[in-house]
Amino acid sequence: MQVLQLTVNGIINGSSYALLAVGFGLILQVTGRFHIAYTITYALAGYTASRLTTDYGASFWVALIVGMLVATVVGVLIEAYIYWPLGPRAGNFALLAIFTAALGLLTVGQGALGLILINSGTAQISGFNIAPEQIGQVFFINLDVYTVIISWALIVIVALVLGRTRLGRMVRAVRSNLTMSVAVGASPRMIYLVIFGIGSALGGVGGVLTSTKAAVASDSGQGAILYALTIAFLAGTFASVIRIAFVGLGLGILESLANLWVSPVWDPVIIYGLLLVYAALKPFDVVSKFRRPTLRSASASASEMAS
Amino acid sequence: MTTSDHDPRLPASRPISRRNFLSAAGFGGMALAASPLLAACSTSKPGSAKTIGSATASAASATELKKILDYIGPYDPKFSGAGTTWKLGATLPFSGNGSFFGKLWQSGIDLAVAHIKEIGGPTIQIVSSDNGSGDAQKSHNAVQQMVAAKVPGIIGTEALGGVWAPLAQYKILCLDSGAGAPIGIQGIPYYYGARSAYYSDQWVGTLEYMKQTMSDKKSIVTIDNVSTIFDPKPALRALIPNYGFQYKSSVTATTGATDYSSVIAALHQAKPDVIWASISQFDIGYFMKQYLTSGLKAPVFAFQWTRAARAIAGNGYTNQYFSTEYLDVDKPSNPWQDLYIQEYKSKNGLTPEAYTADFYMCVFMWWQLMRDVLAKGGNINRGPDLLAALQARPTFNTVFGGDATTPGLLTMDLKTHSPSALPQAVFQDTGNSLKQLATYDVGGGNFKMG
Amino acid sequence: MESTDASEAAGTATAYEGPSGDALLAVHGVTTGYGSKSVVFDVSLHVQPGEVVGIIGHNGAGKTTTLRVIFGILQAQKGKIVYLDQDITNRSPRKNVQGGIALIPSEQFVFADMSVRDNLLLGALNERSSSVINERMAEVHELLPILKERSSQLAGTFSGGQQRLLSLGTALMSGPRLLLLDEPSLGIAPALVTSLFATIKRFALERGLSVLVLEQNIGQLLRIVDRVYVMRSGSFILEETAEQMKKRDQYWDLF
Repeated sequence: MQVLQLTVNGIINGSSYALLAVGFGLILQVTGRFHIAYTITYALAGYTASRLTTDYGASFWVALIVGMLVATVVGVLIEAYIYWPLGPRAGNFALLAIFTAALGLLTVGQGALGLILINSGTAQISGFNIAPEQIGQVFFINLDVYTVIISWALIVIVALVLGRTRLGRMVRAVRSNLTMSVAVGASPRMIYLVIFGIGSALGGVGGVLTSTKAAVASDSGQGAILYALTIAFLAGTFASVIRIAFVGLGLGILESLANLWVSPVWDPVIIYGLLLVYAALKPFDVVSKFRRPTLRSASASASEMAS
Repeated sequence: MTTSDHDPRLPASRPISRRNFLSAAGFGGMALAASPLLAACSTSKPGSAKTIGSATASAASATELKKILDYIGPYDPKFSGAGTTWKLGATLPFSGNGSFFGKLWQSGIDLAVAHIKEIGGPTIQIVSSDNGSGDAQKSHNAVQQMVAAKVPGIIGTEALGGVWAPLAQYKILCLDSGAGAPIGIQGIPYYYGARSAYYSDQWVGTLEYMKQTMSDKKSIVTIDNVSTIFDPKPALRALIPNYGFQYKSSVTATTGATDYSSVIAALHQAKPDVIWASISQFDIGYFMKQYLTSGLKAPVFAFQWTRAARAIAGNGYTNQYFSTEYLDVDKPSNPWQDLYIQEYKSKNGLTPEAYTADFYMCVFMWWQLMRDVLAKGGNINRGPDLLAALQARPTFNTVFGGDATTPGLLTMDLKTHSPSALPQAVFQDTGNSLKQLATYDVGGGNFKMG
Repeated sequence: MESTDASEAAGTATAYEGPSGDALLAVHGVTTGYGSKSVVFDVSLHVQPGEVVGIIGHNGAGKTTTLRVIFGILQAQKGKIVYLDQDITNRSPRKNVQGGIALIPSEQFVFADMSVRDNLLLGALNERSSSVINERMAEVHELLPILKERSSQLAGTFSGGQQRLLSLGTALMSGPRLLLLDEPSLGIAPALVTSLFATIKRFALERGLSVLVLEQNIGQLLRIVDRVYVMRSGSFILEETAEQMKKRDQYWDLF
């Protein structure tokens, strides 16, 4: 019975991981940016929902949508006014410069949120009447059901948009080959903004849902983002949205089932250990995943010249 | 900060006042411009210590405050330290998962510093440093900064992150109000617990209460964090049956966790009659919140009550039990406690909680040591002199316990370096107040129902 | 273009002075570069409808930069670019693609992790009519049958020459009137270069496509171009017809 309970727990947590990993992974895949300040949009969405529900009496669903929008706007602004201008200025060091900027944003954002939460340390999201649910001997809460449904609905929507629409083709073009995407008339800047918007929106929804179950704190999402990064890595930076999502789900289930044998204290060790083993056994895969595809075609041409 | 319309003991939702918002926004803007400044303003920058407190004006009149002198024990005014500026250290969690509590505890220290100054004591300067909520490297840095600042004494937290060796090496006395001196780290030279020890000091009193009121309950499951100091399980396994209960199992939780689904799954499996949650800070709030909707009905005993954790748990705290130091805001147990509660409310806009009072009390303990050193013609800036004063008179009056005429006592056990007497209580969160159910001293002595 | 001191130094051939009034593309005195640094100075050129024009020059002469400013990737610091009688100076690449200009870069010219079909569809990114896209796809398949045969193959698994053909097909999917080609022979086996250039010429002839091609392989280039600009240190130093250029005994003095 415990197996069933832990599997259900894993599906619930894995769905949250999947949502965040898709958001974070999209940003990483398409823009190549290690946007660790993703945590800020996550926490900010939760904080917005908290203020709206506790101070302004907004319904939970309104707060969820507004939280998502705030995360979206903040994500887009970060890309538009911090990362994008930094790229050309930093030249060959753009990757490092943008990572450093993201780290700075994370520190400043968490510090600022910590000051805002100075009187309570955390903030609550109200307006959702959390109630226990039980099927047989398996326990969960009604919010978990919504979390799973909303997470997978959004994942499927994003997958459909990327797979079936003109916007999706443009995104895939930019992800695949920046130079050629410009040549065929895509606008990388616009695509970067769109991707930051979509990724941040998913993070925002994840932030509100998870914070409703727990609470908003200045470091909300810090652990989740590391999981998202791990999932994006394990899935591969050219993986489809659905693949990323299933890796996230699988990791959630694995993490939960591991508690059959080890205490939850070991969860991070299991997750990051998995990443370590993967990196150790398949180092080339890990390295190549962070090379732009354009390099592959370039190296193919070069080897042909050599022959 | 405005006070809430709700019962002040409740975790009222706290709208940000304009002043606080502007302050926060200002800090945020400043941080954007210069993030190092942020570190200095909100959290201590690693690698640097800073002075956080000296005397500031108090809300109560000097005459009212001077009533405190009636409760801190006899002393010769000649040795009050008035006119002296005295530097003490404090290692507090300004970063990491306990950062909020660092700020909270600092408010207790600040109030004591102000009170001591106003009632004729010295100006105490607190040199603080960040221990990163027990992070090993930051704790090490924090203690090293105390050494560099040449403070004779430290108000400690988080058991100093295990960095005890420099205390004896540099002869710096530490009174730890954050973690106490639990089993496993007792008797360390120059390291003393200035609050009840986590959480063994509450075990006997709590079990006695359970024995008297919960005869229908049989099995206990504990929830613990991994402790680097000691493993409580063997001791509990031996102790619990003495009170008619069965120690069933222990579930380990990750420190700083917000998701307790796996812990709750383990509790479902174990089906205990009573749960002992030996987890603290925000963790206990997150657990209680999720426990509320878990379908489990076993009563939970926890060993720390803070408003911040209650705010997270919401109704999850209602009807649950707590066992630790206790402040009765409705019926203060002694006049000093009453004054402290009123003063803290006035200065911080919040009803104080026991944990913050531990830090308030600790500064008064330091003042007693200072007075005793001065009375004996010693040097207040020498750790050995302060230690000698502690050994000579290890009893301190506290804001806890006591009665209408006398405050409670903290007596330091000079062998264990942990209090052998300090008033504790079992109390219940009723949803709109805290209700005292029993009182006892650390270790379970003087147990009384009601 | 007037004969200059530089052109005189470069050789004795008479400089071309043909018409530019009805040009599909006319570049007038454009200066451009990276940031505040200029690397191309006061460049003027024109391409007539159906004409294949080449630009030759040493590495770093400014050829690619010239192509980039025409396509809108770089901003012109000075001068004017006119296409189809419209001032398109500093117009975005997207607008230029919509206007019928296609660019094939010298490297990274396919979407390697996508199928051939997806590459071709991306070429028609700015075309919303599915019937037009289908027509173009059929046309490309007819011109380059290999792209139909290997429609589902990943572009990255193609050889360099096949990738070049795919890049041409991708460019044609946008329905271009002007094709900007950056060093198409780069990285391709010599045997394939001849057939590739023949294909380019065929497109120009059969479809009335204008082509502006940058190349260092002068021998191959002169087989397909009508005129050539010679670039050195960011400026054009000579403009000749292909026939004039072919009469030279050697080209090294141009570099």
